Amino acid sequence: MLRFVTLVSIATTFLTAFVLYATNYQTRALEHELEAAQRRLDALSREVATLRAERAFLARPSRISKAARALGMRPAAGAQYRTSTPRNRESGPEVPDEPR
Amino acid sequence: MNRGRTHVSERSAALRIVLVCLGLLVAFGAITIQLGRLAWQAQTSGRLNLSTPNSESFSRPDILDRDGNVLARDIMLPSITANPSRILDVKEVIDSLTPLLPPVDAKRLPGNLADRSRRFIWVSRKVSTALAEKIHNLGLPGVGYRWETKRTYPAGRVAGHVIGAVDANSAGIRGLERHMDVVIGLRLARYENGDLRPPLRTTLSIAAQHALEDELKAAMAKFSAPAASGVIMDVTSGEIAAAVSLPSVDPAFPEHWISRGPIDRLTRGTYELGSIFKIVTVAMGLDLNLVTPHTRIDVGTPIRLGRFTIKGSGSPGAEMSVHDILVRSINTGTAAIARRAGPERQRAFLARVGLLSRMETEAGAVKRPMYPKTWGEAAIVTVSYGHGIAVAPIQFASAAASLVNGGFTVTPTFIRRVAMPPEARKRVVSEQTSRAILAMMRASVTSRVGTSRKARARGYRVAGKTGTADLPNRTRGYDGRAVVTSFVGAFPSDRPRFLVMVTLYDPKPIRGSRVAGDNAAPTARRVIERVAPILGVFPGQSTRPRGRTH
Repeated sequence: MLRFVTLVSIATTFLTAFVLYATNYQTRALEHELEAAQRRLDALSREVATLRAERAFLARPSRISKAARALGMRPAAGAQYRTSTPRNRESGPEVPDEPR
Repeated sequence: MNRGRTHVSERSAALRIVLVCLGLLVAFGAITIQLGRLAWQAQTSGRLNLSTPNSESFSRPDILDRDGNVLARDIMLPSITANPSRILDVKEVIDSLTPLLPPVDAKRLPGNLADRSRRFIWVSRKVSTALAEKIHNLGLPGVGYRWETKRTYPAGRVAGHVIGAVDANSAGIRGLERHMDVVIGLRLARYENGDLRPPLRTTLSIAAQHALEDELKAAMAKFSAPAASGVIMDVTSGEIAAAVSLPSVDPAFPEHWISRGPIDRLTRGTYELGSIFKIVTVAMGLDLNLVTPHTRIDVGTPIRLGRFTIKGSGSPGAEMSVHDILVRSINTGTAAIARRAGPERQRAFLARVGLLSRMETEAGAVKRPMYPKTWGEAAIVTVSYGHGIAVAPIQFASAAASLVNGGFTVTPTFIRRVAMPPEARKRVVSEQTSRAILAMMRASVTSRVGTSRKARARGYRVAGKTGTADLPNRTRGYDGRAVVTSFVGAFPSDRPRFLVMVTLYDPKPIRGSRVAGDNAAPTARRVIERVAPILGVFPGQSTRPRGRTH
């Protein structure tokens, strides 16, 4: 009986060691994969950051303004705006020009 | 005897077996507990922190304008590094790198590599990815690269003075960049890009900023002025939609301006602003119940101050209402109001509207106002019309905003804030005073005799006041050669939302005139017409100016 227990214990020890080794191996493999994914993510993040900065650079007002003027455009004049209500909604009754 | 020995041996064997079993039990138990613990504590995100902290540079959140446009952002760039102790052939490294590196770095390289005891040197910082790849492909032992953050300003010079600058390690050294470090704190850069902290949302509008800058540049060219500044501020919250000081600066190149470049005249320069100060004097007179808009005051009699005489307006003894004094900008009139108040009350009122104390904004400290130490008769009179006291334009703008917003104090800010409840706001002047001042400023724009009539914007009800003051020369005297001209105004005048202040420094005469009414006022008109729609204030159909506009 004792011999059997000893043999089972030794077998279990080896089996556990093997399972642990396999798990460890898998973990390392996953770590490598994760590292590679992280590196790709870092590179893509860098690219995204750069592209966003480039987009903002291309949309900077001084560049747009120059291009718009070259196309014959000008800043909108007040007369070009129309509101849906007869008076400016921001405004109430006008302040008198002179004291009463 | 033998049987006794066998009995002892069996007992000993049984004990050993029990010990082995116990040992195995403990071992398996430990393994089971450990496996259970690992399973329980397993990371659910699946992300490992593989990035190595870069001890040399800091990452920074984006800076955005009020509409989410990027004003400042980090990108990652490689920096070439070397470990001199690992370099096999220094000459080979120098010969290989010198043609590739920027001249400044190439020049420094031999000296840097000479000390073989060093383990780390920067060869060239924040170079292009292509250059780093080229150097990497050379396969030089001891030479490598690492990623660093580089602060970029995609909008270029827009709001350069306000945004400020960072040093080579991306630590803020000026403006909002510095403010961000103080408030949010510095964080070491890591190789993965992007600071995940929320961006700094400013109150600036990139479109309004550009429009203001554009119009000020046009004014500088037209009036041959070497410098100009302007600010557009929400009169209630103090949020600044645009703040321009020309010549502008490029935040990407702080080395060009930090020490001796063009200063931010809006905050770092103090100027005698002239007659725009009269709105403060008249507000003081009204708020202290010394005068009403209809009170008639002797403006014709000259005022003698020692060697100087302030000319009267009209014949000696001629009277004018307080309303007309502000509309026509009469020095003797505001001097008379200030004299009625006296030095203590005048000084206290200026302190109350925030014109005597040091002001701070997120972009940095505003230069302390300069005013007379002894508040004598001369100070009373000259300060009443904006001479003898020098303040930064932004400080005056916030004081003016508090006079036209119903009478509440205004603290200028570049960062969005939670609106303060009306009961928590500090009152500076009464609502009645505020309305009266606004009416007079409106009249200064609409009246045919008003000094601000050229600020009459098409479609907008503008209230404002002009000011022209002599600029002191290098010996701090006044030779009348140069002036500072300003316009401060609010729109829409019946319920102001925004304040505009435009200042031109040393504008040259056109058709013999260089007063603010002929240069600062029309500049402000163009600014308002262009910027108001950007800020959501549209021209009313029934508010077209009557008659000809100037």
